[in-house]
Amino acid sequence: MLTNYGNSLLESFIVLQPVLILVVTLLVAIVLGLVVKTRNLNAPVFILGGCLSLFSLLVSDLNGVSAFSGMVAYTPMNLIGQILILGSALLFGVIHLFNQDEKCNLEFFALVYGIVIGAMVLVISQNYLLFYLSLETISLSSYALTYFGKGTNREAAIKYLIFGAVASAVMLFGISFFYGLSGSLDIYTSLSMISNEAQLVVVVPLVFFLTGVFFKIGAFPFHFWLPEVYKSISYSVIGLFSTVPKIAMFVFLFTWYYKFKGFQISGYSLAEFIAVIAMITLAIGNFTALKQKSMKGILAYSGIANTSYILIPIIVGGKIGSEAFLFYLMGYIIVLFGVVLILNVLKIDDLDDFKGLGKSQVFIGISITILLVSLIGLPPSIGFASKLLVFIALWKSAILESSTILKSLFFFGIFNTVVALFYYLKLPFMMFIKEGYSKQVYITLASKIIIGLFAVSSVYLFFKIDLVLMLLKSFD
Amino acid sequence: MNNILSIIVFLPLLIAFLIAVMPKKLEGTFKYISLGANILVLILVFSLLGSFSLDSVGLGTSSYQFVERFTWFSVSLSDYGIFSSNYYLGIDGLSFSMVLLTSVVMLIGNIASFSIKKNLKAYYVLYLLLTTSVYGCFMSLDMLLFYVFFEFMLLPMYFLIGIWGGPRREYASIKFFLYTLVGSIFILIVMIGLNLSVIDIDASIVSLGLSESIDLISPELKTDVLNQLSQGALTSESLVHTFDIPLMMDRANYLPGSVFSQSTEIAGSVYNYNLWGIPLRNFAFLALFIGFAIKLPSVPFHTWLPDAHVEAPTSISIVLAGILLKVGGYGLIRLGYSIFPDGAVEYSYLVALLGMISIVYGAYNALAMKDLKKMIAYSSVSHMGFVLLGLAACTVEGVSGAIYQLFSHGIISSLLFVVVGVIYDRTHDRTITNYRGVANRMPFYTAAVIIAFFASIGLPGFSGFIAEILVFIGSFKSGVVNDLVPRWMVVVSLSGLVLGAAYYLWTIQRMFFGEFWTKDKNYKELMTDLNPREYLMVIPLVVLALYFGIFPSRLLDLISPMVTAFVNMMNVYAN
Repeated sequence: MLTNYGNSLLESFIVLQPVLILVVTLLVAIVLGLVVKTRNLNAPVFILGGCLSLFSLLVSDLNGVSAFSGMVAYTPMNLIGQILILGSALLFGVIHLFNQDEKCNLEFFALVYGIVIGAMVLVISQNYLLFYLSLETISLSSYALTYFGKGTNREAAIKYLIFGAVASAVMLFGISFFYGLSGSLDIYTSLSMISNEAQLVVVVPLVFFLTGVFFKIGAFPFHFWLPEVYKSISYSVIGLFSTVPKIAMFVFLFTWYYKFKGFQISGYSLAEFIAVIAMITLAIGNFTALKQKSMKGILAYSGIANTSYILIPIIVGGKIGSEAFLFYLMGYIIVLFGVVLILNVLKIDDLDDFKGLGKSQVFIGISITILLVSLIGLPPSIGFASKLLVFIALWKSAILESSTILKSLFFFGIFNTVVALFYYLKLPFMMFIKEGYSKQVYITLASKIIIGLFAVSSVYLFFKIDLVLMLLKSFD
Repeated sequence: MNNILSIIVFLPLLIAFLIAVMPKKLEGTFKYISLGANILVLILVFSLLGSFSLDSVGLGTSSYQFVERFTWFSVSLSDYGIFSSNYYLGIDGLSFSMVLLTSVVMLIGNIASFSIKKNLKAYYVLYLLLTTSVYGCFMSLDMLLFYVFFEFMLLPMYFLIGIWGGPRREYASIKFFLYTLVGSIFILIVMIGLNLSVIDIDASIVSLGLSESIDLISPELKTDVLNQLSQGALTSESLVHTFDIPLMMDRANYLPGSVFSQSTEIAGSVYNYNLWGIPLRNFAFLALFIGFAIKLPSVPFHTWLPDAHVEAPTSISIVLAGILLKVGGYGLIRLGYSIFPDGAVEYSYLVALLGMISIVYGAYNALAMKDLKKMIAYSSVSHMGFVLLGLAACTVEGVSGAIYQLFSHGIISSLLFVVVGVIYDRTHDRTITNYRGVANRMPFYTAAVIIAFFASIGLPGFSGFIAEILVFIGSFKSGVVNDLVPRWMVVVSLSGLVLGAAYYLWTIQRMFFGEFWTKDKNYKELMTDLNPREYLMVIPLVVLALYFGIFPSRLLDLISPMVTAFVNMMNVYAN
């Protein structure tokens, strides 16, 4: 049962301490930035804050605690969600430890703090108001972060802003319907009241609400902003954008959707609608990625494709769904940040510029090949383990519900691995098989060690599937 | 040593790591280190011959020798049950014959690799990784482990063709990867379904708390639990889902009501899941068949093979034809046929038909090829058709013939690619019509080519003859005992032998006999006869092809317990 600290404001703030630590760190960073005129401190302070926040999250027994009159609550799912968000944020910080020369000044980091804090609040929010506020915190910081720097990215940022504003307006409209139908802003009270309503009345706000959600996770038909934004931001920010806000939204969606699981629209369950969307998203992501000429383009469309793989365990739901879901997210974070770290060190975008790089940078070439193999989902890699779990869960659910659409999703999803192979392999192909002159890159030993750790762990964790699953289950 | 199989599998991996960390200035020693590793593995494999028992029976868990089995992971997925996999190695006659073949071909391939001149470190690391995954594939008795090794073969192979290959290597390597990956996906789908369906009873008893450990389980308890399982009385949380291949062969281990389960009465099998009136188990067989037929390869999935062969360097062609194609045949027997015998019998007509088409179509294609290597690639397609034909018959002779063909073709195709490599190394030209009268210039080479070609034709005295005669006897007999292979298919397939003789003899006549002439006059100086390294590759392979042609019982004794059990199991369904 939920321990309710709802009546005491002070105790409620204690429940919120992982978030508050980040807020305090942000303030400290701002003050430090004014006093000490060096950028080198930003990343270490960020990492320190993240570590403290993670530490407080792990030591204080927050599982099953709710606060602020039920505005926020911790469940095992969103507890792990917060851990994953902080983990991604820390990995982002680690990338910037090795990347001091970029324009990563205080303003840049302030916006990153904004995204992380917003995501941390979003996963635990139990109220549409808080949900919307934290979502906008993420969104506004993201728009600004895209605008950051010089050159072409301004156009992308403005587009992102306009589309994002429309999407969240539509979503807000949906939320207002929910409120109107149920008289409550509490997400789960409102959901349980709505599910008794007449279908058509619920379908409209449902579609409006999902518009906002799909926009954030980059699912069809609201994926179009993603490639342009990704092409105009740096690799490290790509890593941030494809993990922190998305994880928050996915974790929220997992719990939110589960309440709606039985909802039927003219004989089809909501699961089947999302399954169709997942299939289209997968097709668009994978097939468009084939035509990309730059790594950022490939990462953008692979992000879209991965969105649909993460939608699968959300559709399945339940215990096995949640385990596959968290496992997939964890594997994705590790592998994605490994790839992003390497690309960030190399600072090459155009695929043609990778020609012959494998000969001069053997270690980097092997590491990125291992990580990309993991993204494809070939054994022995953590990517294979996550795909195996996801598809086992999906098959079980498809058989149980004897749904043709879910079965189609199974086959469509699993065969899309072949398409994924084609574009992920382009980089190793350029590096090792194409001949060419590559630009000279100097890579420090420290970054080599970190890169090696990413590559090794993506393989090692495959052999330790049980370890990872036990770790995830230990929060139950 | 009770972990000798693991040593065989992981020794090459260890050496690969060793080479990977060695400094580049020792580049010249890599080939010898790799050679040493392969010789050591060969010795280890042959040392198994002495202690390998020839009278093991059955097809279940007890029929494997040198078994190593311990839990890799076992984790509770709440309502799904316990998701587990074992590190499970073991060999029976079938896998042992394949392992013997691998040890020989890998060694020959290593000697052939001596002509590789660029990027030696990467080459030998990849070559040894490939070696490890091939051994692992042949020895795994856990499907997940098998799949890991099976998939892991692709990556080294992709780079080996892609980096060290011929002019169109980029196209050939990605084509190889894509084709085989599509096949693997079919296998993966069946693997997921099997994991949902198959229960490890012993481990489940322990997880239910009915027994302290697996060794203490009494037969009565096991029967009792099996009964409870078939009535659906056990809670799904404590059932151990497994990837264990021997357990998958026994229908008692299937969870009632799961996708691949069938009723325990053999007559009038009742299936739980049908699609368009066809049991899901039959689709599973077809999926495995497609997966392994791509690897084998069988028409119509063969088009990657000629491209891969033409572009691959000699050593990789040897490994590709000698071993990797055999993984397809091996997987078909070990997984497709053994786990889904009902589906196999159901579709034996299709399997035999594709076998027949492969034999004839492959042979006609070989006849039309101007490139010597492409001709041999198509002859491989043709010869692999015999494997399908023999398997489809499900008779002792047919299945023995199929396995014999896997083994014999491994030896002979390696020999063929060695001799093609000899002329390619010298002139970088493999076009048949660019040469005449090579015999005048390279007599010993010509002798080697003629021996290789005759062995491949299936001349009595060579191993290919034994394999093909067994396949034909077996498939003719099928018309009498179980009616799985129609006679006309066998008759049409016989024409493949004639065509085989045609394309080989025609090539010999065009290339080797007559007055010496080459299209490019410069070839004359380049065309020197066999050097000692080439003799070292040719002679052992010729000796082996002859040895297994003259003493077929050496191999047949090895595989016969497995084949007998296999055919008995198939007969249950065939009648």
